[in-house]
Amino acid sequence: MTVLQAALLGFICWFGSLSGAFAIGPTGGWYVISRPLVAGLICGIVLGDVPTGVLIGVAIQTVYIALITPGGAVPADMSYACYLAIPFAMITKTPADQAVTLGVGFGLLGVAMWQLTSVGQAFWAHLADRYAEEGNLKGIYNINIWAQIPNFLLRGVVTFLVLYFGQGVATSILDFLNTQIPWFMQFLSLAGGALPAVGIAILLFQIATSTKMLIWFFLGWILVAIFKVNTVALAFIGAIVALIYFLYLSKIEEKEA
Amino acid sequence: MAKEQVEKKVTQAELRKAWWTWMFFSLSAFSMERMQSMAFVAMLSDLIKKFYGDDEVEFKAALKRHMVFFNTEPQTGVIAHGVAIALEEQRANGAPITDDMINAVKAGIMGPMAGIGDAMIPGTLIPILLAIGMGISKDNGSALGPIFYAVAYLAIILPLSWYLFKFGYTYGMNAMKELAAGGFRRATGSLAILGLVVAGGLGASYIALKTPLQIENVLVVQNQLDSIFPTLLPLLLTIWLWSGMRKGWSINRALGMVFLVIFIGFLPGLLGSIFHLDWLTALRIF
Repeated sequence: MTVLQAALLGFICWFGSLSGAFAIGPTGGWYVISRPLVAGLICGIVLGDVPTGVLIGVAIQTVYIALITPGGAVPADMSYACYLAIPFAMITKTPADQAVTLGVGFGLLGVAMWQLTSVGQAFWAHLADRYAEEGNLKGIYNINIWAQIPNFLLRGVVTFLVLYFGQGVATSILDFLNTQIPWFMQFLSLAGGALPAVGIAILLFQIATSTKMLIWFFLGWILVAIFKVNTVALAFIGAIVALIYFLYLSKIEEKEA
Repeated sequence: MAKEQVEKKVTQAELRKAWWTWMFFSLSAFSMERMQSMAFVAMLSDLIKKFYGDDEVEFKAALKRHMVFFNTEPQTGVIAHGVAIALEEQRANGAPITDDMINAVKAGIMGPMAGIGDAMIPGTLIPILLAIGMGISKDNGSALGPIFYAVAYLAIILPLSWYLFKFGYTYGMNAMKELAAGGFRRATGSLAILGLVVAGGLGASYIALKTPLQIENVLVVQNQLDSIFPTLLPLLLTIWLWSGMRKGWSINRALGMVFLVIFIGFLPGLLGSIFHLDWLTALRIF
């Protein structure tokens, strides 16, 4: 990885962080740039191997398919899970299923960084209170822009440094693991294969408000597992079922209630 | 209050600028202590100038009024912003609207919209679009999957957010009532069904869990399972994790549980290979 590539990835990581502002805030940043699926494409373009990047992105994405950050409580930090795990997996030629575990590890590291940010930024709130007292509207407005500086240091600069100076270490650690304790890598592969279950369970937990709603989950599962329906077709079937519910069933439900 | 001859009316362009400001900076100065309040004031800045620019006391009061704690789902919670603008406009034109009223309305919308918004956007819409994108790219690593996701998400969320922002401004105090009357609850219920169907398909295609268990080198257990119900083990694992979460497991605990399950299944095989204990391989589960 060249200095330029690492710097570029650092910048993109900053734009895509939860507090990143310049890619239409969380809409274009956290929810687009920092989805592992999209990050895989971006890392692939920057590092010159799109298919590998996207495949690793897809693998990591499965764990975080339904990541929700209620009240700023970040369960796993996508910035690092994307922009440290994917580039490292790419340059060390780690297979996608092992990269999943790498993503989980960096995601946990990033949570610590986010907690630091979200506590430290209280500084801005106190400054803004003072400005409000003085009637300094411009000052409060500008705080929103100044706040991007610490965010740049923690996301952009840290990512750049870790990527650029860590690539040698990462490669030798993975070489050591692969040659000296291959069973550990095998274990990571198996775990990586099963970890998406957590992502699906989170999704289920978030959407299914009652046990009887699991029927719809089983419907989707059976359509794919037994009838081998592909994803796009499944989305259409799901949309039709949802429309039937919206137009007919939900009205019956409302009358009965 | 200053006696104004002309009514102070917010223009479409001013609304749009306020919305864009919010979209860019909603979480920029985010802190656990005050969350999105700095962005809320930034969003209102031009309007506060317009409404109270000629009255220093009211101007400062408006800044302090909106510096209180605020937090919602940044993309769909903007109904609250629209309502706040509508109320500030009425207040600037002399209506008897107090600080408490404005804050109570904001707080009354931000909570429910954070819940509904989280369930609808990162909980339903994003997983569906991701699932389609991943489906396009999972076999060959094609760039089309991520591109589809990015374009589709922005094409849905930006107009939706802008619509909700204007909706709040148009209906003011009655916004939440109007929203409920428009079949909003039924719509979120339908979206949940779509989300669940897609989630089921995702689980069936992306979770890999197999058992190498053999009985007397004759009966391969996984083959038997596959002939009855393929992906039974992933389904059981998912349902187990789900029921754990209902009992209050955190995400990290769920992740830990997966590692633990895999490790327990992996252990007999590992010990067998280290200590050359062939009989252990017969007990191997995974």
